[in-house]
Amino acid sequence: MKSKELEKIIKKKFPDLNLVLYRKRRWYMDVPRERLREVADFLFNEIGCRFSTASGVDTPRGFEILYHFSYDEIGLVVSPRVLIPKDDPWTFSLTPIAPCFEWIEREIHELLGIDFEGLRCKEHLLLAEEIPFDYNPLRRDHG
Amino acid sequence: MDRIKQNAFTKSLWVYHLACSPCNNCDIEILDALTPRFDVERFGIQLVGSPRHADVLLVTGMVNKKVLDRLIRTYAETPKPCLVVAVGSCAISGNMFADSYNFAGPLDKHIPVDVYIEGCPPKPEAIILGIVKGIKKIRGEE
Amino acid sequence: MAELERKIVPIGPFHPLQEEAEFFKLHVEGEKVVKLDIHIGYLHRGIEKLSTTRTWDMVPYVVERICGICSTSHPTAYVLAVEDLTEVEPPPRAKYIRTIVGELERIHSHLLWVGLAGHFIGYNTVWMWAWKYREPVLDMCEMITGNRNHYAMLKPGGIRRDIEPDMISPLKRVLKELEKKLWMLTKAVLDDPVIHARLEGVGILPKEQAIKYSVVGPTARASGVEIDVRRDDPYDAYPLVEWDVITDPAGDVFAKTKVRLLECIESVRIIRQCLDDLPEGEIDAKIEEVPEGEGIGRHEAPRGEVFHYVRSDGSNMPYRHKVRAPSYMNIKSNEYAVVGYSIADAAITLAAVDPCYCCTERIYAYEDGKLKYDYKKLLELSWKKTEKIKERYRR
Repeated sequence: MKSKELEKIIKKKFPDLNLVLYRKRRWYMDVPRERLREVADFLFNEIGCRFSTASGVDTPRGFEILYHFSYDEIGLVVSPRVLIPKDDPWTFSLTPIAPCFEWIEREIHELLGIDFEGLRCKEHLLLAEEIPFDYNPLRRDHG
Repeated sequence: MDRIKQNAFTKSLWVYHLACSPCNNCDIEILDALTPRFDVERFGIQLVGSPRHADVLLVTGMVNKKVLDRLIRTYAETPKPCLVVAVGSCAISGNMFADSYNFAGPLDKHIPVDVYIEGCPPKPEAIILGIVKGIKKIRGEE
Repeated sequence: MAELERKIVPIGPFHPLQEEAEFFKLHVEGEKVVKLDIHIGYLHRGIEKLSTTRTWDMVPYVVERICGICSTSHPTAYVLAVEDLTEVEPPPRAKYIRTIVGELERIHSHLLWVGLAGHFIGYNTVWMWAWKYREPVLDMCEMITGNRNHYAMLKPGGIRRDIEPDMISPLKRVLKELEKKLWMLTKAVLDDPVIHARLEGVGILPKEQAIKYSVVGPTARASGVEIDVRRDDPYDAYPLVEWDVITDPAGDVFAKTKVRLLECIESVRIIRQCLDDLPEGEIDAKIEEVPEGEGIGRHEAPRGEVFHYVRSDGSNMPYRHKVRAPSYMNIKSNEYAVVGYSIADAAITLAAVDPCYCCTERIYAYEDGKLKYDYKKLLELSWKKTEKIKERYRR
């Protein structure tokens, strides 16, 4: 479907989630952590987006995780953004939806120290096994 | 070219390729040396599947913390005398990854290195030249 | 095809390095693969963190070295991300030259893969031919960029080096020769009955699984998922020249081979059009500063979609740089594709998604918790299977 139609559908389904048409093919929306699974399920299963990747960012106002969903029909990337408080760093895992979410969640877990509820395998993906879980190189206050 | 042929024919080298954490470019240039344009097999140089059969250890890539253990064990298993060749800038010094949190130090910090082949990646000609220099070095000691 | 007698890797007793760090750990029962464990991280260099300590125009040098084979793909996606953030478009000449370099890389990467695939199934002639025809491609890269690999061509806003007018004729000449050889190689590989028998029906990744694993590139296109960033999210000169997206519904290793070979032919088509239509003008839009904001850039690398996300806080270094290589999505799909097939097919199935070469050197098979076959043994099993099939055809 065309972008105008998709914009209408998303705004109708999630009117309070602040969909921003930042660039012609780059949209962003703010999603509270409790609604993440709902939004991801909608984009992945109902709209038929492909999951590209997720970016974890350590910012002064909290940890942001942007999930980048690609709507290939029109070359669009929709990125729901979850803001996670630094003193309570966890969110819901999307692995129940599809296997493609597992690795990036393990990576964000070890590099940023964010826990994913529902993620079955929490072993290190990239770092050596002996490295402790509080060694989080992508945190701004690390090293 | 004739001098290289002479020197190389007198010893048939078995080479074990050990990849630490490379970007693969050095590895591909090493394999390239086997292909028709460069064709080092006519000098008797062969890749072997186990370090226990190796005369030469070709190490590529930056040494990272996860691979360090394997590197040291592989070196221990290789029968001496063996020629350790650091191929590419990453093995020699870490290149631009030297300040990474996963960098475990340049190769010669962990195992003794005989030949340094500089480049990013070194061309197949440079790799062949490096190995030949290494052969001459060993024979020079004998 | 006449086979070379000598083998590149001699057969010897294998010495299982017991605590050897496997990349692909196959669990087998008899001759069948029942499960796959994947352990990555041996190539982790902390590049995303490094980007935050480099200025915006130093980052391409770092990301180039993420992967040596698709070394221009990461800089392409990165500069597109910065251009997305700054809303600056590179000048037309830069777009065409970026496309030429990107497509040259696609040809050399696919030929590299075809060669390795040939090696995995014991067709060393294919390896030698494919890599021999790679050399003129690398020569073209060297002529344009100064290096066989790691071209350092890209910068945010444009490119760093121009194509001289006297390079065009020699490039076209080499391209013409290359095209003939590519057609010959393609026909030889795709018409060979032994290769058909060896690769058809092997390691099938069905379309629904391809979607669940969100795979990209030839891995997806060979499972009937018609996605290609060059067409879906156009950039550089791709919307300005004519070319086709190659797909195949079968999902097996043969389909992946076919897609890659035919993509090489399309790449020649693209390069030729770019050389013919190369516009005059500037090669750099000269981005002065990067304001606060975020940008996403993607490029269709030989292995699939490369995804870069950048965040800027207005300073001269990225605040955050997220890199996602295509193999990150594709390798995991092997969990599905390799299970249920014979051990002799494991090596070629795992290699079919085109992971980096060093990853495939670390394939090990275990039965009842004990090491049964190491990488060299798995290769030999693959070669033996090809030999058996050849016997059938010789009679």
